Amino acid sequence: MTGRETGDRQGFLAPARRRLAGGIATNPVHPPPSGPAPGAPVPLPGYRNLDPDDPVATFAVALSQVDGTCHVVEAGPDGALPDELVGRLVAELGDRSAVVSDEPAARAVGRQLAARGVAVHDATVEDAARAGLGVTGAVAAIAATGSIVLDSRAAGGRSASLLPAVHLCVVSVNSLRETPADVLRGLGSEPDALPPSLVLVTGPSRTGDIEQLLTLGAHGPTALHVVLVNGGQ
Amino acid sequence: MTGHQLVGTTLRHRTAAAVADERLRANVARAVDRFAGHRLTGLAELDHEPAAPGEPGGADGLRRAARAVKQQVLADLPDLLERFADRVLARGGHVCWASTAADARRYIVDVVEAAGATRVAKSKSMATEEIDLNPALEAAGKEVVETDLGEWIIQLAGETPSHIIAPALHRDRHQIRDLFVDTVAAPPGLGTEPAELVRFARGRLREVFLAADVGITGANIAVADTGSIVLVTNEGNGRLVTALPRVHVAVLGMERLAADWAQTDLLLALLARSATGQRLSSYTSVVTGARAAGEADGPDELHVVILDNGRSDLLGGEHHEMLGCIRCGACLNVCPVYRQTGGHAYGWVYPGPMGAVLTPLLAGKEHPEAAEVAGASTLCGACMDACPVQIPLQDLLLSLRRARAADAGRAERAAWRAWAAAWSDARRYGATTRAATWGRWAAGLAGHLPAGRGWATGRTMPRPAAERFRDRWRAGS
Repeated sequence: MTGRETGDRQGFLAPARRRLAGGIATNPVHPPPSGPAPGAPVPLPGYRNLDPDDPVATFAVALSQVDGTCHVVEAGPDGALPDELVGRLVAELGDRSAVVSDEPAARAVGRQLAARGVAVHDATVEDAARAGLGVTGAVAAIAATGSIVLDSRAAGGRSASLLPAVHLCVVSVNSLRETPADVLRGLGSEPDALPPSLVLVTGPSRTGDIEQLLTLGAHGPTALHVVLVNGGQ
Repeated sequence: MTGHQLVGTTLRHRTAAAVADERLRANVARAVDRFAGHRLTGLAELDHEPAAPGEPGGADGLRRAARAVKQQVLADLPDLLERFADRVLARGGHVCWASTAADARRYIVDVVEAAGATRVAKSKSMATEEIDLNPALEAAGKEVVETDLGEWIIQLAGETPSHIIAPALHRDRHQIRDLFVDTVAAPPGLGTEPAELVRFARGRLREVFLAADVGITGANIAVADTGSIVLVTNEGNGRLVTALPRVHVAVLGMERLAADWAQTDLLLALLARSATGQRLSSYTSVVTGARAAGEADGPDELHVVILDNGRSDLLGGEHHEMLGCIRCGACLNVCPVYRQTGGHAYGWVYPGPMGAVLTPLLAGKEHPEAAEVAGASTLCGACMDACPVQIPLQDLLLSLRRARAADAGRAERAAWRAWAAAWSDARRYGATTRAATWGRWAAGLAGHLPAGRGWATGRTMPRPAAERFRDRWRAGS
């Protein structure tokens, strides 16, 4: 399980150690700030767009500003989404298939889609590459940035949120956090709990590489729907 | 090294070529204005209570804190690298300590060979540009495809990136459309709308992702506490390259560390806003180890190549703070020189103010010509004002110029000494100001100035007055 090390670690580090042992020159014109004392907390970035009294509204606005769509719904029986929303997704999908991640929230939507005649598959690379819709859950959502947090271990992979043209993510309002710090600053406490891939997804795939003009769907999904579920677990 | 122009051209020639290209300048100016505007909007949204009276609040306060964080990281760098490597190894990842570019290239070629791979998909990485990885892989018979759209465009054009965030910003939609038709057999009916061009590229590159055996990325931040690599992309190429191929190789500049997730949170809050004004880029991926049991995709092997390549020489010295650079590109977007020339005039892989500092320091050993790139600046200080970690770029540029002046040719120093001696004596001063001698004298001096006669080119030699002031004074007129 332990990885292999190539090259001479101490030989590599020796020049750096030698140079640092001689002290660090201070820029005399613009000296660096004295900085927080060792062990002092790193300052928390504040987000002026965050309304702490209404994180759901903050999330919905932030997501729409990055060209995603937020749906706030009440929990249905067995995690079912409102018929009207599912109907719209099915209509957009046409005769293309869908893939679902391993998460219970995604499985529940998969059952609804199948009941409407959509071919629904597990999210293998091959099936995800052919599918028009990928459905996943998320381990958290972040209000200030309109992000969702995807965990490859919980989802059973990466492809469902990555290869289909449309990504639908179902996440409980209880998992909504205010800022990235609320998610990121907890990651160090249990290093072994980190999945191989944890992704903060903030809107659909985009590029500005042609004349800095925004174009959606460069490599990943062209559209992102996030369903925030009230109530339920 | 291929692709770069340090050898065989001079800064003056490269600059002249860029400035003469009106289309290039229009493309660059449009891009940097958009980026710089978005940056200000993005940063204005960040809040921070000053820790003490008199200290800045808001984004400036966070930039100040980020500079302090980078100072802490660099002071502790060897221990942090060990902690990071131990965590990567514990999670089953492999680690290579690459002191030189050649060490890194050799290891990566070996990994690709050992995987029995022929097809390599790359996500945008300045570190791999720096070590000239693509030619090494191609020499080993591998097919290498850049998957960031801008990076793919310049790969097809056989160019180096002209901007660290938007590598192809010097090309407009018409040039890109023609390039696709000429190089990858795009249908001649392909239009010039960006959406249409992106759709074409998406189709072609999707095949590359699905077929690739090895994916190669850089690393925006490496987190010592958990052995994680943080990759920031908008297109999703970083995710695809780390999800589909069997092997993932990440090339990490040794200075790109954060001790923990609190530091990483602060740096991420500043990184995307400084680059493009976004709150976060579309995809902030945290990679920790290879695929786990039960996952349908993800690489079986993860290799992290930790690269020195001249960086440790900067530690502790005058240019120490340059190692705090998080590669956001903000300094390029505010630089009056970059605006006029674009990135290729800088001659190597890193352009703009950060490139004008890094090029002499990292490429200067192998290519002494690199030293002159520090001259590509007006020292106006806009770069430090824009830098999210407040690197005092203009001070570093000035110090590099000072070092270069100290090395200046003996002939130049002798010319200035002769001038000083002549003008400190009334009779000899009088002799040099006679019209007949003025032209000869000035031309002689200019001929000894830096870069051959370069200094005099583009400058107008003042014409002496018909009658000298001294003569008029004596005549009492």
